[in-house]
Amino acid sequence: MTIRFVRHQDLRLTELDEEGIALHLEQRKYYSLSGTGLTILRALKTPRTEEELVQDLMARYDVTVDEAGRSVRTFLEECQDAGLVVPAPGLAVD
Amino acid sequence: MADWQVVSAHPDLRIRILEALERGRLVPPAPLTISVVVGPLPPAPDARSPFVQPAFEVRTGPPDHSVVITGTTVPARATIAPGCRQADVELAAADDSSIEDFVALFLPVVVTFLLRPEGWHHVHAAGLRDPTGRGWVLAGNAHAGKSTTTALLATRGWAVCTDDLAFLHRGSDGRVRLAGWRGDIALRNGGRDLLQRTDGTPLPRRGKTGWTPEALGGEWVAEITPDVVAFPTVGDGPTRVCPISSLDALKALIRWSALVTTDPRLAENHLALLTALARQAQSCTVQLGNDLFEPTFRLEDCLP
Repeated sequence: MTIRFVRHQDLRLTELDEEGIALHLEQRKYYSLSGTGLTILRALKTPRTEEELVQDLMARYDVTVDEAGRSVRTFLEECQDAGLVVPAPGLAVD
Repeated sequence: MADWQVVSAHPDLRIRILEALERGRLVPPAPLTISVVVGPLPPAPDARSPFVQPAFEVRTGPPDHSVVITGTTVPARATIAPGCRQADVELAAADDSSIEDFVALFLPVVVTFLLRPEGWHHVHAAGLRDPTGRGWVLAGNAHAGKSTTTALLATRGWAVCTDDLAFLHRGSDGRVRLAGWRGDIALRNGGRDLLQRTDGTPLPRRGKTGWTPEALGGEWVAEITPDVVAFPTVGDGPTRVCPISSLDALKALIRWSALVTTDPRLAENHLALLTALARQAQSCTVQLGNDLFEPTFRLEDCLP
């Protein structure tokens, strides 16, 4: 079973100079984002699987599937730990 | 541009609020109404988590998306229904002292939350225009030196918009503007001594002394277009101006615009405005030194 992820409903994003800020309204904290992180969190406005996020990164950056996979996995782990991303309820796919 | 309406069955209270709004000289972008009733403040259970500030706490967001501001130093409560350009204020008492506290401490908070749905967002900053016409935003906390610097610059030909209560909004040309609530530039004794002033208006409730920009030889302007965003701190050495990136400026602006995290429906607009300001203006930190007070020192010449 593959999990879909979605960004927390209280997250607001903004972009500046190809980097980003994620503002968590509930935590009242902001997080700095690289361009890659911003791309992933923007994509997670709607539920997406890890594999779909890898494709998103490969479409935007000149990276291999392994590099994109590592970036997505690491970033998702960090975001879940920080409460920026959550598993999308009821949307696991086989 | 529109105006303020005040509704109250207490004529004295209504007049005092109108006078305060007139002194503030902040012209709202749409007609906004403040309705005040006087009487006991019954508990109003609200399960929403409060955003707590020194003088008030505010609850926003779902389920009903109303804004409820409760005074912690003034016995008052204000409710702004979603989509409504009116604040319904309950004030526990309308004696002279209560009205004075309400007008000085709670009314600016109500104004702040009435303006927010209109796209006018608060930032804890001073706004000035230097003699070359550039707009400056000095953002920082209560001990960053904003007011002392503002007072000093007023004596040197800078125009002052506000030393504390500022609102960012988009002008018709898309650029970010800063409008100010006109009030006395208020200094503690230390700031007054640095400025070598013995005059001013005592502000006993705030433990400060106040001056209008005009009393310091300057002028007041209703609005500036920011070209420079500076984050001052009080330092030991000479005054130093260090450029910072737009992204670092944005992070600092978020810090000094704490209401950005309130009301999920308005947060995106507020954040976009701060981002636009960080993009629009040259940003720097300013370590304020005593040389700032030397007669020949010109802050406007310190920018790289």
